[in-house]
Parts: sequence; structure tokens; C-alpha cells
Amino acid sequence: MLLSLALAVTVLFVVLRLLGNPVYALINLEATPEDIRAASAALGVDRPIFVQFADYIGGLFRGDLGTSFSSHLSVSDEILRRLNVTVPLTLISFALSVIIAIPVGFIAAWKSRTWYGTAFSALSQLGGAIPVFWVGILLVTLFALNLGVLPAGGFPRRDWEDPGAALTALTLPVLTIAIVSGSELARYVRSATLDILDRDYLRTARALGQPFSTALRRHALRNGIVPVISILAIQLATTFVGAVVVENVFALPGLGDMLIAGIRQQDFPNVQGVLLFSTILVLVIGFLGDVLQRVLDPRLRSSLSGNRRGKVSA
Amino acid sequence: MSAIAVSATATPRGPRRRALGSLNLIVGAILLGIIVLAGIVSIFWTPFDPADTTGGRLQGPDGTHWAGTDKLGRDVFTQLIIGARLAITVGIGSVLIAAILGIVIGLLAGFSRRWVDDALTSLLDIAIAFPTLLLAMLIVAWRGASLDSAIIAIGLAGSAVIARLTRVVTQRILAQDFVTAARISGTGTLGIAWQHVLPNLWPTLVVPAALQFGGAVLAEASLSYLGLGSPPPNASWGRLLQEAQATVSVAPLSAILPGILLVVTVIGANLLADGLREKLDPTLRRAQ
Repeated sequence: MLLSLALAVTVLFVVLRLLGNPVYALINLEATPEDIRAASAALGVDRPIFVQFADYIGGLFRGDLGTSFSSHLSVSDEILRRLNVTVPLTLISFALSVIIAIPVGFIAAWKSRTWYGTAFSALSQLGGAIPVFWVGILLVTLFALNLGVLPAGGFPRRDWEDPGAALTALTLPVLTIAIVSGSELARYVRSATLDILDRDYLRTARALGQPFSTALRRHALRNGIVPVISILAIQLATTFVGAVVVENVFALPGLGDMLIAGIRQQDFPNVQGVLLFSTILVLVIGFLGDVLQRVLDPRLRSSLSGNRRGKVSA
Repeated sequence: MSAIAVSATATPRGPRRRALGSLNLIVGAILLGIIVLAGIVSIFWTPFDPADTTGGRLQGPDGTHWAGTDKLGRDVFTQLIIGARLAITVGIGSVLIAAILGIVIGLLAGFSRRWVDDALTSLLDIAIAFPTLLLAMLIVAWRGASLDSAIIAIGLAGSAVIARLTRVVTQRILAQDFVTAARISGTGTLGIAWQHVLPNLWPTLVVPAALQFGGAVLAEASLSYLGLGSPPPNASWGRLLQEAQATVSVAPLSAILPGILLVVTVIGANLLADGLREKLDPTLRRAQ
């Protein structure tokens, strides 16, 4: 975990240095060599690369990600402020998608011979195939433009001081992400359930006279939850990325908006800050997923490589 | 898993399962075939020049403009089939990059000693956990927004999965007796990789490659929607959707058609992958 974190941080530093000299974003066409030198000195890019790297790592530990080229605000302050939008958006969408996915996926597998089981299977197949921003556009068209019941985009200026207004602004974005994420997740739940319903231990439990629900609870749940947890961790990261895209559909001032605007304006400190933050977040979520899996499944605790192999063959 | 499992909640298997597999294959091939055909047609012929703004603005569909016109008076149908060409280009291009890079890295890991293998594997684990779209944005920020950037970025992101699978297959094959026999008879490492490992990779890699095709088309659409893809007039479906979003209340069709084509392409690729999986793996009993 720490090793991969260190690796990711280093790779980002190298790649972002390759992005081109940030000095060119600050100067204009008539800049003299002196101007360039002054700008380089101001940004600190004239120093040896190892000094810059040490400075960057030091900054990371202090939570200092530099200053934005365009707004001249502290990047870390800006990220923290924008988390007010991105974190609730991600978490509520994720919770909703789990609530949708578990019953849909389970019924799609359990009742696979009935018409609604088939319908749920078909719906979950759509999950990985629909672009999330398109769902956003369709929902805006339906609920904001045609029915006029919800705002088409934007976020209240006063942030969360008026929780009702903030939640109303997040309703359509949350629905958008939850529909796409939820159906994707339902596909995994469905195949995990199909897998378990096929297992010998469940048949044995039934043969021994346990009612279906007891057999499910005692045997299927504990076995079935483990692969689902690892998918959940990946899915949480995917939901976060979905939020990055959906924020741009609904003009929400979150991290995604900051990232895209940063790329367009070549605001390197902002882009670097958001990507760094997202990378760390994704790695931490993955790590927590691994830990949780090991807590729930004693078989994984004994060896490190056992887990690895299990993932590949799954 | 016993071979005689009979459960009350049967999943389709046996003949019915195989029939389902070929159904997936056929439907997937038809859906994807339509898109490929549209893309090929657009190379030789389009109803209008994509930059031709002589049509009326935001017209509905009629005999001349089959899918109407956009806010600049350009023909939407023309843009849609050019979008098909771009989608296929992105899909094939990024899958090729992912396959070549992934197979090379995977072979390297599969053939190397313990610590090189461990180092490569943990690198791949990070790469797999890292969301494609974030990686793509990083590369677009570096190279600038273009179709090439998008293809390279998506291909790079996909290569990790291919590499991981290649490594597993390689190690499995290297442990087989026929490889030992080949070694004894003097075949070098490269010869073994070429003669014995590469041909055996195909059944394992073809399904993830087909899945990645769909994923690549979706990822490129997201990038284009965010303004980080290829610039107009040769715009991809994602870009068309972004432009149509502003005028959706007047011209809903241009905000719906590119989305439908996207879904058709991706579902086509996914069904093809499912069908191939069932065709190639007769021992497969579990439904995916």
C-alpha cells in the first residue's frame, strides 16, 4: 500500500514534468530571456530536478499542493472547498447504487426463469454500455426541461447553508450516477449469485432440510459477500470518476469541474493537485477493500499471494 | 464443482446454453456490423460535407436531412456516420495498443525471475486499479486534445489487464511438458514465446479484447463530451452529444441518436464477447 502510494506519487511527478514547461503558461509571446528566467525562478523550475522533487514531496506532507496559475489560490484549499460537492455526490450515488444493485442483481439470478428476472438481467446488461453523461442529458431533458420539477444544473452559491437547496441541486446528478453505477454493480451481484446458487454446499444444506432462506443466510451470504466487496471498492472509485464527468453535465462546482477547467486553461498546479488527490483516494479505497475482504474471509489472511491469484481467476 | 450438479435454480447450460452463446454471437455481430458498415460507408460517401453549413438551423428530419441539422446547419446524419468511423477507429486502435503492449509486458513478467515478476505484477495492480478516464485526462493534458491522444491513453489503460492475463497464461504454459521438451531440443526463450505461448494466448485474450473495444468507445465518448477528444467537424458521438445538449429542447433527436448508436456499439461488442466466451470455453458452466 505505502509502496504503491510512493510509486504513484513519483510517477505523477515525472509525468507532470513531461507535460511541458509550466513557465510557458505564465509568459506571453514578447517575453525576453530575462522574463523567462524570472518566471522560472518564481516557479522554482530552474532548480535541479531532485531539489524540486524533494520540495514536492515536502509539500505533500504539509498538504501544500502549490498555487493555481489562474486564480492564484492555494490548490489544496480549492480542493477542500470543492469536496463539499464531490464527496456528497459520490457517497449518496454510491449508496443508492448499492441499494438498487443488490435486489436487482439477486432477483435477476434467483428468478432467472421468470419474466421479471429476465427483464432485470437485460437491464443490468445495459449498465456497462450506457455513457453516464448521456443518461444525465436525458434526465435533464425529462425532469428539468419537460416536467420542470428539478433544476437542470448549478449549485447554490451559499453551499450547504441551505441543505434543501443543495440536495435538490444534487438530485438529478445522483440519479444519473446511481442508474449507471447501480446497473453495472447489479451485473456483478447477478453473476456472484448465479455462482453461489450453483454451489454444492448450498445444495447440501437444502438436502439436509434447511429452508432456502436459512441456507442462503448461513452459507451463501458469507461466501458471496467476499468477491462483491472487492467489486464494491472498485465501483466506489468508478463512482467517483463518474462524479467527475457528471459534474460537467450539471455545471456543479466540484473536483471534476476543477480538473477539466484546469486541463483547458493549462493550469498545471490545479490539474496536478486534483489528479494527485484522486490517485491517493483510489489507492486508499482499494486498500480498504482488501483489508475488509481479509476481515470477512479467513482464508485470505494466511497468504498474500493467495488473494492475488484468487482475483485473477475470478 | 461437480459435473453432475443439478440444482433447482438451474442456469441455462448444455444445449440451451450453447444456443444462447451463438445467439449472443450473432446479435453482437449484427449490431457491431451495422456500425462498422456505416463507418466504412462514411469513408467513401456522406450525404453532405461534414463542414457544410448550408442547411437550415436545427431542422427536423426530412428527405434531404435524414436526421435533421444541428445549430450551425450541418447535416446530423453525416456527422453520425463519421462518428461511427471514429468510434471503430478508437476501438480498434486502442485495443491494438493494449494488446501489443500488454502481451509484451505480460510475456516479460511470465518469463522473468521472481523479483522482476513481482515488481511488474505490483505495477500492473496499481495500473488496473487506476480509473481509465483519469489516466486518459493525464495524457490529454500532456499531449493536447486529439483523437490520437485519446486512443493512446485508452490503449495504455487497457494494456494492464491484458498484461496480467498474458502473465498467467504464460506461466501456465511454461509449466507444461511440451515446453520442457522444446527446451531440451534446443528451442530458445524467444522461440518458445513465439511457437508455444503466443498461439495459446488467443482464447484467453479475445474476450477481454472484445470487452475493451466497447469500453474504449465509451471512454472516448466521455473524453469528447468533456471537450478533450477530437475537435469538429470530424467529431465523435460524445462531442455531438455535448453540442446537442444546449439545444435539446428544440432538437431532441440530435441529443438522442448519438447516444443510441453508442449503446448499440458497446452492447454489440459486449454480446460478441459473451458469445465468444461461451464458444471458446465449452467447459464453462457458470453464467456471467
